This record gives sequence, C-alpha cells and structure tokens, in this order.
Amino acid sequence: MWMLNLIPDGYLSVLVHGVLVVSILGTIAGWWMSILPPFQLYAPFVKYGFLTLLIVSVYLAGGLGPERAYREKIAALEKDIKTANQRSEKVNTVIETKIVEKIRKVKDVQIQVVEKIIEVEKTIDAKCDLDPAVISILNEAAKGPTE
Amino acid sequence: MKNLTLLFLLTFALLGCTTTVTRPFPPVPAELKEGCPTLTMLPENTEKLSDVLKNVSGNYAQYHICKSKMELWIEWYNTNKKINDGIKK
Repeated sequence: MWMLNLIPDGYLSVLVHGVLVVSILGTIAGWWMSILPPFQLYAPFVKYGFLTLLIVSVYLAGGLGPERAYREKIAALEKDIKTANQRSEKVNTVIETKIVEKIRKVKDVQIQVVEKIIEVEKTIDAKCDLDPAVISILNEAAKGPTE
Repeated sequence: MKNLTLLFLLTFALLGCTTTVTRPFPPVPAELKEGCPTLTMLPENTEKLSDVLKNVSGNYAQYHICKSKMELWIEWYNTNKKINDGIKK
C-alpha cells in the first residue's frame, strides 16, 4: 500500500475508485470486443490489460481504509509533537530565568562575605601565623583526584 | 528475461515506503551544558588568613552555582521526560 502514500489526501478516494470503475468498464468492453468482428483483433489486449488494471485497483481500493487510518494517526502524532515542542520551549525559558536568578543570589552572598572578611582582615591576619602546610593541603583538596 | 522482469516487479511491489514520525531531542539551555569550573588554588606564598578565607568562600560560591545548575538540569530532564511520555504513540 506504499503506493497510496504518494497520492495526496484530496485525490485519494476519487482516483482509486475512478480507476476501479474504468477498469471494470474496460474489462466489460474487452469481452464485448471479442464477439464483435471488427474489434476481435484488439480484444485480448483490451480485455487482459483492463483485467490487470482491475486487479491492481481492487488491491488499492482494499488498502484505502487502512491508509486513511494511518494518515489520521500520523497527523495526530505530528500535532502532539508540535505541542510537546512548544511546551519544551516554555520549560527552557523558565529554567534559563531560574539559572540567572540563582547565580545572582550566590554572587550577592559572595559579595557580602568578602565585605565581612575585609572588615576583620587586619584583626585576623595579625592573630594568625599561617603554616605553609595549610596552603598545600588546601590546594591539594581544591585540585581533587588526579584522573 | 520474463523471470527477471517478474522478479523485478515482485521486488518493487514488496518494497515499502514507510513514514516515520520522530521527535528530535529538545534543545538544552546553554548554561546547563557548561561543566563545573575547577576550584581556585591559593598561591604558594600566601601568608594571610584573610586571603585563605577569600579563596575558600570563592570556592564555596562556585560549588553553590554548580549545585544550582545540577538541580536545574534534573528539573529540565524530568519535565521534558514527562512531556515526551505524554505524546500518544
């Protein structure tokens, strides 16, 4: 039935049934031609040609129902996908707004912490004598595991 | 020749064109595709506790930003999975 796939929706039924009717009439005409002397020479070509067309058109006509159902299902699925894509776009907008907001809040807190450090830095630096081991241990922790 | 023609017609009839309807993976916000940055290290000659505090608080801030991105990535994934599962197949 893949051949029906090639025919647009509007023409599908008309075309298939039209060919069916033509092939029936052609087959009948072929039988008549075989009994009329002037046309007897061409009768086999007409009869068997239209008979072949009749077989093909019956086959296609039988596939019309499933083809229509299949096309409706595809259309419904494409509509669902379009809706899903629109929803995903909205989700992205919401997430992007949240990211910006969260980063802003973290940086605000960071600024406040640095201000507090600056307030007390003279006092704490005077009281504390840093051992170099502190720096190397902190840096080792910051580096993390080697891969 | 006749058999070859018949075989060709039979193959032609059996070959099917199928219509596939697919949904591409939805695009991810650019910020969620960025990895977490490496932590800032202290210069070897650091002597002041205030410098250590600034460095540590800066690394904590980086962690919180990364944590937020991770949580939003999970939210993005779960929401899009629900949307995808909602498509009637």
